[in-house]
Amino acid sequence: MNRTRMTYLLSVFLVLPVLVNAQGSREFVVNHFVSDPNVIESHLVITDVEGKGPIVTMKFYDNDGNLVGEGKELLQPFGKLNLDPGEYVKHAVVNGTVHISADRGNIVAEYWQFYKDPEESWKNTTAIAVSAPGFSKLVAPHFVSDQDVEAYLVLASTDGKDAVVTIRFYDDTGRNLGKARELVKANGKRILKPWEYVKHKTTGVAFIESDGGRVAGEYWQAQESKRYQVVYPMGGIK
Amino acid sequence: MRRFFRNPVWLFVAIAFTGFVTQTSYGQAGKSLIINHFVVDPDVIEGHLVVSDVTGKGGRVDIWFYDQNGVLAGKTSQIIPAHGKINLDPQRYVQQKKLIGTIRMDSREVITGQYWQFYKDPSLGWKNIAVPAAVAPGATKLVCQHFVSDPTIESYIVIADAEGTSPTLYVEFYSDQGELAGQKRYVIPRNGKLSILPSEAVGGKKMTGVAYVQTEGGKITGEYWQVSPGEKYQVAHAMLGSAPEAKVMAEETLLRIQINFDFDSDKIQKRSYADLAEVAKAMNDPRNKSFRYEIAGYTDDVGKRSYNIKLSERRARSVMKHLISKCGVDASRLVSVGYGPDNPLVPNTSEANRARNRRVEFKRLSK
Repeated sequence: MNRTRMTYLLSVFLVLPVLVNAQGSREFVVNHFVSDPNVIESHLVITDVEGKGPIVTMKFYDNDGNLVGEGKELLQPFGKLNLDPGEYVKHAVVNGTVHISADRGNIVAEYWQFYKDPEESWKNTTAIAVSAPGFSKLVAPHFVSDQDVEAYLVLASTDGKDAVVTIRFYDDTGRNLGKARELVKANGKRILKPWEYVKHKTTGVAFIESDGGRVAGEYWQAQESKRYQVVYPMGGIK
Repeated sequence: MRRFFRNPVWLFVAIAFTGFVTQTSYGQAGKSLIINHFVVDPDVIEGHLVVSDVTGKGGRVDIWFYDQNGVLAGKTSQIIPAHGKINLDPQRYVQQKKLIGTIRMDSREVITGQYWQFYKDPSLGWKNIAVPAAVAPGATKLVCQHFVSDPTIESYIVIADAEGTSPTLYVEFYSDQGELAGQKRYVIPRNGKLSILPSEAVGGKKMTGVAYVQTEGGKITGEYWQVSPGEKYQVAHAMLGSAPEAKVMAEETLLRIQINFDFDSDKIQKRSYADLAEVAKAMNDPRNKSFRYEIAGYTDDVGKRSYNIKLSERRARSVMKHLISKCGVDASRLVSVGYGPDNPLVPNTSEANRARNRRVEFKRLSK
């Protein structure tokens, strides 16, 4: 291959990643799902975006990335599916991730986690799924390090490859609080408690870089004394 | 350097590389953000606007607070420390004692934001919530992937004007099975927001479903909120955009979208202009630019077949003319054809199905 042709190919390679990416997508990852029939009523909601009525394939993995269930469902044009993840993992107790793909047309997805004990309804929550293949860098725009607050950085593998993640913790003023390196197994996820790394009471921002595979993330914060639980997705850089 | 740029190959490499660097894409982060909904009500709510650095550079962020009618209620500029964040109480920056509205933020660097709404009454802790900021300039189409219409549940589709253009919204509500349950039109005040009650739009029917929002005259951002006072929970999440895109057209030979026309006319309604602009952008994308396209018009089965075929031909031609004259697609790449009621997508057995069959398809032809 001559130099001109190689240069041309290189330039095409550079152009490709800049092209449009949208929020509706063919493939999604739900960072976190729970099947625990005695405690949780969970819903996997998958919605058609383009009226194409695709067949959606779901693969359920535990936190170590082991495939624990799978299923295929027909999604009605302009309709949605509301599925119980438990039915696909034989109602076993599982904490893991869900990978969803559509055979045609764009879809969107979300996960709802309801608590069966009415006294725990304040923990009911929902999180939107992340478009695959995920990110190489993430920002948790806020975290709490406090023994009285349950706070978790939830990092899920999105591209089927082991990812070594480096998490750098900073306080609100930008002071470096330390870093951690953890392995997120292919198709699995890691749940990290900021307190265990920062070891003092503070709030801040966490910057995450992955090596080897891509990841997506959520931040969960719950406080029993104030009876609230919130979840939101981390910002990412493709 | 001049010699370098005279060589078209290297110039192309430079442009490509510049594009790569400048268009690195972020999820939930950007230089302009919108908080779709915030509340100032000091006796009831403790609100927090959290804005975080993403790139490790920090820098200034300009913040504007608007009421839901789009009236500027306050503004501030703040410095975000590199790798750090700011945590503001919106109440400090607005003149009114009580306010519901939106927040807009601009920064030279990429930032990410959230709004936290805590309830001061400890017995209402179950309503505490955090919602990520939407990234401006928003989208021309949004999907609310789930809504509830149920007298025991409060649910809201919250839509904010993202560009300051006071867009018109066309919202279609479908059941989980994909049956049309309601249609509504709304206008958002410039820089303001709307809270839409799905239950009103579907005539109070108890149901769950999906809502599709399309705009005319500007881009929007959106959230869905659901509160159950009986079960004591409140959740909210961002709505996602869904406009036709270059990637899809590159991968598939057929793009099917709903183009809206005036009744019994070939005049395209303005609400479809944004979709056609996206289709043209996709057609002019480098991956698709070597292809020609057939624009095919279809009708439902109401009326005489010969009349419907002529109407579908006129509508397809109207779309073709729009793509050429308004969107810059080369005329030699397009042909139009009308198929009338042929090849229905679904049986013409209900008004919802007939609406789905009244469509325009863009079929990729050989190079």
